[in-house]
Amino acid sequence: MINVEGQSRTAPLTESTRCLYVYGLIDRPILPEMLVGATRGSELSTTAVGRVAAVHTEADPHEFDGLAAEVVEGSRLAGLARHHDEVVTALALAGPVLPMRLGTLVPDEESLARLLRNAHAAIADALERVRGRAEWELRVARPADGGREPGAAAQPRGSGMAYLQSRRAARDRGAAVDAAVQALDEALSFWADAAAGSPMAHPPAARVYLVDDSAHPDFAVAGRQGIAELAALGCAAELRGPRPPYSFADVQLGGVDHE
Amino acid sequence: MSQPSSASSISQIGAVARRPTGGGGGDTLADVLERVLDKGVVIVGDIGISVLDIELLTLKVRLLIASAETAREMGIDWWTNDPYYNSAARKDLDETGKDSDETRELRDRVAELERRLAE
Repeated sequence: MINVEGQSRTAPLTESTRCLYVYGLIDRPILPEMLVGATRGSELSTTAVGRVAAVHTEADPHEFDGLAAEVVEGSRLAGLARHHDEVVTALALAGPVLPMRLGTLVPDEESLARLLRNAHAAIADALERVRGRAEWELRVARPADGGREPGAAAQPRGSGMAYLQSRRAARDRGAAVDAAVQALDEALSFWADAAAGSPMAHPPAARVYLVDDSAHPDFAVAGRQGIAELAALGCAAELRGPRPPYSFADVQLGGVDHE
Repeated sequence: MSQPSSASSISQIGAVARRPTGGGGGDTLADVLERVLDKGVVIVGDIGISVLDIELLTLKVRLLIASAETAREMGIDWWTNDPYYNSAARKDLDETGKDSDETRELRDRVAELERRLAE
């Protein structure tokens, strides 16, 4: 994690204060009119410092007051999240982008420019790392019954020996799944520039990869082969993407690095 | 902050196949929330606003998503088809405008019982 030090304090917001909602950091100002069609009419602006710029829109800070954790389509949170993701994706289509986290607000352009100035080198380096690359995510779901062979019926109740044999077979299949997942991860990592775990995902496997456009064909072939092998073991695996490099935007602005 | 007002495709600015085309297309809400709440550049210190709120929100959403995933893995997913708890299931019901065969049969049986009681 890159941490950039040296921010001045800002006065707290008042009731009538407007602020800036920041979507992402880019390496050059994109003409706002380029993005209008891509962002459904959002009025986007850029604040540029040197080679880097932030894309933002004016916002009411109280828009986020009382935002409930509603994982339901149509909720306020869902609307904000999907809109944020759409704008970031549009920026990623236009060039390298470091997505900001949802709900990133700064008081004004002056504060934003100060953040960019203090972190200029770190932002430029991070943008270089994601240039011409996209994020892909691998998800693997094991069978709910712990690894019964595809199409096989559940074992009828029988002798203790039969029970132990079925347990051993399930354990062996579990080991085979582990090996296949590891092999797939290694194959995908070989073609990717970077890989990381997905902190919110559930086991057994959820990994993200940063893949260069030029390596994508080989990455895709490796993915298809590995997914087919996992399917033969009764696992549902999926490679999702391309996406903006959310998992590889490891820049922190402001504050003091205590590490 | 302006919100989307009409449907439009992000491909308007010219995507190539291997560049990000997500924009929520095909992704579940949980997928999108996982990305935008938990990943990306963060601002710390007094410059940022609502950062703490968002972090708390992230924790709550993470718990909700984790709970739902865990329940599904345990086979507890009755709400996914229940129109009362699931908007998609409710939409399906609204679109067809019909009850299932089982529900219709039950309604008929109740009506028949009520008719006999009234006699």
